[in-house]
Amino acid sequence: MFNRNIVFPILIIIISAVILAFIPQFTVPIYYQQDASVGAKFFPTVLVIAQIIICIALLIQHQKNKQKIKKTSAIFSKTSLFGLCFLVLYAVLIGLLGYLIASLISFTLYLVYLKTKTLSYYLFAYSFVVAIYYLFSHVFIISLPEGIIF
Amino acid sequence: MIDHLLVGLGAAFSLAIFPVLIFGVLGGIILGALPGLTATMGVAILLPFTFGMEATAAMVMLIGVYIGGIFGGSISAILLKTPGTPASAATVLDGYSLTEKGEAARALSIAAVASFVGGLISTLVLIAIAPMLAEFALRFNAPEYFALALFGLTIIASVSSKSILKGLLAGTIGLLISTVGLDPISSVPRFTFGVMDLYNGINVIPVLIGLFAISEALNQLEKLHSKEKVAAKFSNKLMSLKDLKNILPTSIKSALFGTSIGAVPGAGADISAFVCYNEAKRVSKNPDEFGKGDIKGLAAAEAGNNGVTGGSLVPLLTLGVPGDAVAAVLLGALIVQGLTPGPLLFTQNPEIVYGIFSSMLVANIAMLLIGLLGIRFFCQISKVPKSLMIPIIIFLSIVGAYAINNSMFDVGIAITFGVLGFILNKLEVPTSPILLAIILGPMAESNLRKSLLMFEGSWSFLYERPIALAFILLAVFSLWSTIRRHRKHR
Amino acid sequence: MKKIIRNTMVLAGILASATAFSADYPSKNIRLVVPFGAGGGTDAVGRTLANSAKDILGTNISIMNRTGGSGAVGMSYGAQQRGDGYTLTVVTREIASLPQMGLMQHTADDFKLIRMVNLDPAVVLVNKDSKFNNINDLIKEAKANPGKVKFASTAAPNFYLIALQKDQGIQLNAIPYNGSSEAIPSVLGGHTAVTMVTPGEAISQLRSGQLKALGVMSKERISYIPNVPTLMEQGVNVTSGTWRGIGAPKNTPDDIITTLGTAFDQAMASDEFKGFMAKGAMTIHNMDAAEFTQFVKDDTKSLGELIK
Repeated sequence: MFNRNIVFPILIIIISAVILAFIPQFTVPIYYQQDASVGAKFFPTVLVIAQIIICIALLIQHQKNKQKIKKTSAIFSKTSLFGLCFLVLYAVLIGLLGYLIASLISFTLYLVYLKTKTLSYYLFAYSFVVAIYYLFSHVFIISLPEGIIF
Repeated sequence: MIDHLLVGLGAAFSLAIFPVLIFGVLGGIILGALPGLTATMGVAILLPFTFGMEATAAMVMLIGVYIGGIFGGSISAILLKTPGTPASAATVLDGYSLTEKGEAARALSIAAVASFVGGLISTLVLIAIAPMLAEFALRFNAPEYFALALFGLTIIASVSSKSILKGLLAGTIGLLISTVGLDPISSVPRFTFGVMDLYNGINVIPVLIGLFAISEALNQLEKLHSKEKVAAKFSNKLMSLKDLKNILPTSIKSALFGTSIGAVPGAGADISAFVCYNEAKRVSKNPDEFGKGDIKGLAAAEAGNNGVTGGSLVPLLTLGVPGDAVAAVLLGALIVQGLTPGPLLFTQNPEIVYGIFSSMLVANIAMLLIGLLGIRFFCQISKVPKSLMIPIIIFLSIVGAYAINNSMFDVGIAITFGVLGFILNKLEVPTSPILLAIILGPMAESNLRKSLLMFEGSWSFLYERPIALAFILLAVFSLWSTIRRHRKHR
Repeated sequence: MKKIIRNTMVLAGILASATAFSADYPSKNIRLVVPFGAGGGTDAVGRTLANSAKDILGTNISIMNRTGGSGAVGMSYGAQQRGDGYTLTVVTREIASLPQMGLMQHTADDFKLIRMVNLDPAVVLVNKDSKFNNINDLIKEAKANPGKVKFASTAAPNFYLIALQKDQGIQLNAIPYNGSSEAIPSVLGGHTAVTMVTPGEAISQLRSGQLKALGVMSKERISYIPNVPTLMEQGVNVTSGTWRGIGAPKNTPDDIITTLGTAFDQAMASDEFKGFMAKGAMTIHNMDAAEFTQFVKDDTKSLGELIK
């Protein structure tokens, strides 16, 4: 079984190492400004190294307090995975259909997924979406996402 | 001066101005409460409408939006764990814990009172010693900003209650994220991978929305199906007199801190709220209660962010320089009215200056009243069934992330950080240090490098400039006291 | 339940058809992309112009702030929109400079330029207590101590400064601040010696005398600050400044460009817009499409020489 207290710091160390490999590849723009003695690469380098040190410390700490491990739940349950898919689907729909239609469709999908039968929930949901649409586009005059299709 | 103020107060209650003022405060509260819509945006949208208005009325409306906007962000922070603006990120720490205990009404009333104290004291300080504060603000430059940012970053240790190491890790993650984009001094693209949307770096507001609102929505969704239903007993009880006595000293202190931070151009309500929270925790007798619903922590953050409102007008009115984005719009509004912000305004148009002062006093009172009277209404929000509330938070988050820059890219950022925040919560890594680091990281880096340019490579500015030195000592002290607290705790 | 969905679909259909394209332009809201943030100078000019033009065109113009990459993100976005006249963009001088620095893929050629709106020269400013009293004092000091005079730069790189440096063979210590709102306090507080901003950005400090103007970088004096001599009057043959205009994606039909051009002419001549610009000490400079296009071409070339 994976132990998250070991996997997570190791994962961060790996990511940090990849980032560290990226830093020397920063390209200098065509018109080069004068720069301070501490340049563009300094901060990212220091931070990545600090991050690796912290992760190693976390691993050591975990090794020391092994007995105290509490039982934890899985990182992603079925519902939270649904939530994630819902988010992504909603964002994609907005890009395709625009805010209003995407929101109405997603809200319906969500309520259907939860097997909601209460009519008032649907009414509330739709009036909320339309109210926000009206508030943004007509009161604040902020343009909401427009879809590609419409 | 008193005469001017009395005339101004009379004007503030006049039929021409009072409705505009209420409209501004109310509009600001609504805008602020919606994630992604900030006071800056509200003020900028309203700007063209002020062209046709009389000067005082125009300023009053915009200032109303400003004051209301900062308070509004806290309502959603307390009720939904969704800070409406970055200024309310510190409010979540204790405000939402109180809501979880069923004490939303108490938390909201404390927030309203503390915000009022913050705004009121800040305005009084502005009226009394604006020119002196301006002189203080002018002494700030790159070295001082660097030291201030460094001090701010030490707060990371203090807000990571469970494990300092995990807090520091969150801090470095946030700081690394803040280096994405064109580097501020030499325009070197860092971690942009040719994506132009990343050139300006990662915007803090989608990050805020993701880390707090979206991750919380995912979290709630999960709880929805699990058996352990938290039967939130809901109490309509407001704050007690004892509460008031408890929070008053903290609020006053935070108000003064907030005013000073606001007076310095470039440091705003978000930083102030965290600094004040940190300070309240440091002096507290039981700092372990912070983050679990301590009313002093809530009051400090609230008085701290509203305390900025008066302070940020100091550079605007005395020097003609905007202290933050909102003040920049106010500057534009004054100029469009044919006025000259700066020292001339006090001599040429005292009626405008005192009109602004007195309407700020009235706007703060209006904010308090709307805040208190609205509690019943706001609390209805937490009675909306969770299964409906979750998609609503998601919709508002997505729209908010889009609206801040009309960009689907930012929506992607918000979702990414939502997932990241969700995972980090599971790993017990605190998320507020990430936000703090994204706010302070660019400030620390660019000002360090600017200082080195100014002093031609010498690091002497760290000890030669008294204000910078003071902040560095404060940073060391803050770190030391946090570590000592943790040692004792073990 | 099904009924609700059907009704929603009908409602959605109505809303969608209302926004469909039609021949009589403009028939729906126009979006104006502003490549800088809400609250800045470009934003204010865009909003005010939109406000004046909306009655002339008979349709709402909503402002869309699309920030990032010193304007690159917003202008690239604007260039890539459908050329139907419903998405316009405020183009700024960055469209001439950024592509040549490799920081933007789109250029002015990706736009049909409609009108130039304003053209502001830069003003050289120092603290009121500064020992510099004219531009030649500054140049002399910079020649005596190369790289020592601290310059508060509003952007990196700063083309106002580079123009002066190239012409005079001098070098200042340019410290990049984030816009004029940081650069001006830096000079006010005596942390840096000199800055260059447009008159509108420093009008309060100029009027109150907190800042002293060494010269304005235009061919002729500016009406808002008539006492400030040009650099040319002082024997320094350098001009520099910044400009803003309106553009549409390059495949926009010409008749729409003409309609918009006439509308913006009227908007720029309106009392509201003129009053706004005058009070903000910004200079309206109306150039028609052909003239503006040529101007941008020339400016791109001269910036190219500075960047090299």
